[in-house]
Amino acid sequence: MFGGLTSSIVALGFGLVGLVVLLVVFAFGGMLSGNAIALAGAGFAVFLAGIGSTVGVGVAGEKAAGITAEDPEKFGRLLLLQALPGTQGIYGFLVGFLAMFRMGAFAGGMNLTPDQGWQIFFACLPVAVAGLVSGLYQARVSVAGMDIVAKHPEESGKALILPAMVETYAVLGLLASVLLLMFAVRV
Amino acid sequence: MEIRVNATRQELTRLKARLKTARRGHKLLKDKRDELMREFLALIDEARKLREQVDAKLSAAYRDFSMARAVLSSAVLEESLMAGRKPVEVSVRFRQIMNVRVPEIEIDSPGDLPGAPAVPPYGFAATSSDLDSAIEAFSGVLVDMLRMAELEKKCELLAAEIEKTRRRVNALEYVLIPELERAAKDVQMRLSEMERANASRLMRIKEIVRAH
Amino acid sequence: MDEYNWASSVGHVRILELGLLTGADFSKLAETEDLRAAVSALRDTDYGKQLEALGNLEEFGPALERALGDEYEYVLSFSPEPGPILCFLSKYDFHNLKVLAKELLLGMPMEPRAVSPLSIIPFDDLRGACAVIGEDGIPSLLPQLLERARSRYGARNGHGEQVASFVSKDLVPALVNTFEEARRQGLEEGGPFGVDSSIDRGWMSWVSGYYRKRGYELLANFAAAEADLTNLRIVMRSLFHGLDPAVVTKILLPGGTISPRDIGDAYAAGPEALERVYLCVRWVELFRRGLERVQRRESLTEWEKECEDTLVEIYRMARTRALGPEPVLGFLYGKENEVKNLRIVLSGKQSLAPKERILARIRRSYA
Repeated sequence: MFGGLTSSIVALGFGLVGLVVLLVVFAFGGMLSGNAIALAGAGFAVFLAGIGSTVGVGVAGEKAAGITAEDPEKFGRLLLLQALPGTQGIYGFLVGFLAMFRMGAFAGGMNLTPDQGWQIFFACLPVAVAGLVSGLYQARVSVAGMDIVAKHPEESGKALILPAMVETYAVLGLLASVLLLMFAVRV
Repeated sequence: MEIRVNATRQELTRLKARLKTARRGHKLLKDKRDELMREFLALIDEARKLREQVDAKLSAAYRDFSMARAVLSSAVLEESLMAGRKPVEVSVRFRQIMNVRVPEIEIDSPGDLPGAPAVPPYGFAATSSDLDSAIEAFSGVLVDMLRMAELEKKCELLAAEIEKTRRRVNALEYVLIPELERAAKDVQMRLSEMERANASRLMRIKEIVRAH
Repeated sequence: MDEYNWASSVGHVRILELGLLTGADFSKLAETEDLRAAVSALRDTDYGKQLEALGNLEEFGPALERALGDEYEYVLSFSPEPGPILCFLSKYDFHNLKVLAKELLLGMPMEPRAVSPLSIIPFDDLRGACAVIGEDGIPSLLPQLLERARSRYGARNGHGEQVASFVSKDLVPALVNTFEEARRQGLEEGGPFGVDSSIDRGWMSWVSGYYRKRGYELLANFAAAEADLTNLRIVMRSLFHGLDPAVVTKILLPGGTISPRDIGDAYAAGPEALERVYLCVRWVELFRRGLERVQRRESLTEWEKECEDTLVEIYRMARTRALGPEPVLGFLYGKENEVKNLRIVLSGKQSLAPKERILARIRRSYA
């Protein structure tokens, strides 16, 4: 689907699976505390959603730069489209922050059992995965939407709506993670 | 032109002989002229039709060619035409029409003229059918052009001959024959004048002799 | 290859596409009074600069080519990798190879105007490399000499290394193989027809092979469609001229969706068999219309325009792609097509053709 990018994502996926396996092994071996598992969850939320946004904003920016090079007038409209895949990273960061807040990182007392750690870990996963995948796909829609801006500048509004549809699922991921962290996780 | 001769009976006989020859020559030349005219008219008709055809074909060929030139880039066109065509060999023979030597052109080796089965001297993939039809039209025109060259040369030679014959006929008809007639009449009159003078002189002499 | 790499290039191309002349523009051009008016109507386009520099307006052909070359260089300058674009441009190299093959193999006088200035390897370099002919009749040092050859598009675009590697690893071997094949064909057939045809075949089989090898599926499909449509045109013209089936099989291009052998066999069997072959592909309607014209002995001009319009339609699919090299190559094709259209209009104006005849020949615009 993504050509050469696919291979890097596959590699990343293997890395993640390895990391999770390590986590599980260490946790069951009693080598990881609940704190570490919860922190891993917060980290996943930030960096997976961050990857989705980075790649997305990157490719959208490249295309926007190409269009702007030929027609600088279009910059304003393109900027919005470029920014759209960037929201996933923010959602991930938000969830990571909330997770840290819930595990008591700011209250000074972090003393979670492995069970509580896993709860926070899994509560973080929706935004992590939804952020990664929706970021990549939203970028594709954004990049295609830029064609609309290039050809029919007066129709830019439509170009914004299309990638915004993908945003729905990033928002749902965010919502799920936030709700899980706030109400489902027992600490 | 005035024919001055001695008014003798011998001269009169000679004049009459010349007149007879001139009249016969005049008739012969007139026949020749008529025959040449007949041939010429038939040829000129054909030549004119052929010229019209060739003009039409050539302009069609040029039209096709200009379209081929438009559709293909000049490099592709030049490359396609690099090969040229096989040379067309012709031989020229001569025939006599009323003592005029006229050329007849015969195509010995047709080269790539129509009828010679051949592939074009360029590939099909990069060229268009406009080029095919232009080349074919030009080849077709070549045969007609050769025939036209033959006909027009014939017409030209015949026309020159007709002109020459016509001038001769006219010279005979309006100059030589009237002159000869006039001279013969002149001699005749002078001869009879002399005869009459002679007769009157004789009569006068007779009278003088009788009076004595 | 990563289609994300092409994002910026596609961005450039999307705006450049807006500058392509549309069908309406060409109709307007066809309506102009004469050549001078048509040229001055083009003043505000990309061609204005080159056309205005002309002393003699009749020489518009080379000016259009120069404008096209400038566009190629510009597109190369913003492409992430030159491979597919050079592959597109290689047609000019193979064209120059034809000129050279005719000169070296068939002993024809070299025609300077037949040389395309748009080739990747300048003609003089190619000629210099080919001048050293070995005992077998193949330019023996060709690969070594050509590796050192300059290339037109490498120098000014910051792709120097990549262009050099493309030339030495891909283009030169292809040229050498094709030359060898052309030599064999030329000796067998003894004519320029065989040489030209074998070089066309060599070009098409290499191009589609290159796209497939590098994984440019859509580009390979474009090449296949081009091969198919070219073959269709070859078949029609062969039918029109009554060419021998044995010859036709040898001149059909490889790389299409129907193999040359199938078409050749069907050609030998007659029009019905050909129609059966074309029944399974998209071009059957086109085939029928062409056959009708051939049977009525009508000119194929309009039909060929239809074929080319079909190819433009296929290339226009690239306009809907937001990423990848396809939009860039589609644009190059559109530009080439546009130059052809301009040539048709300007030649028409030059030969004082009525505007209907010009309009009937103008190809569908990529814009």
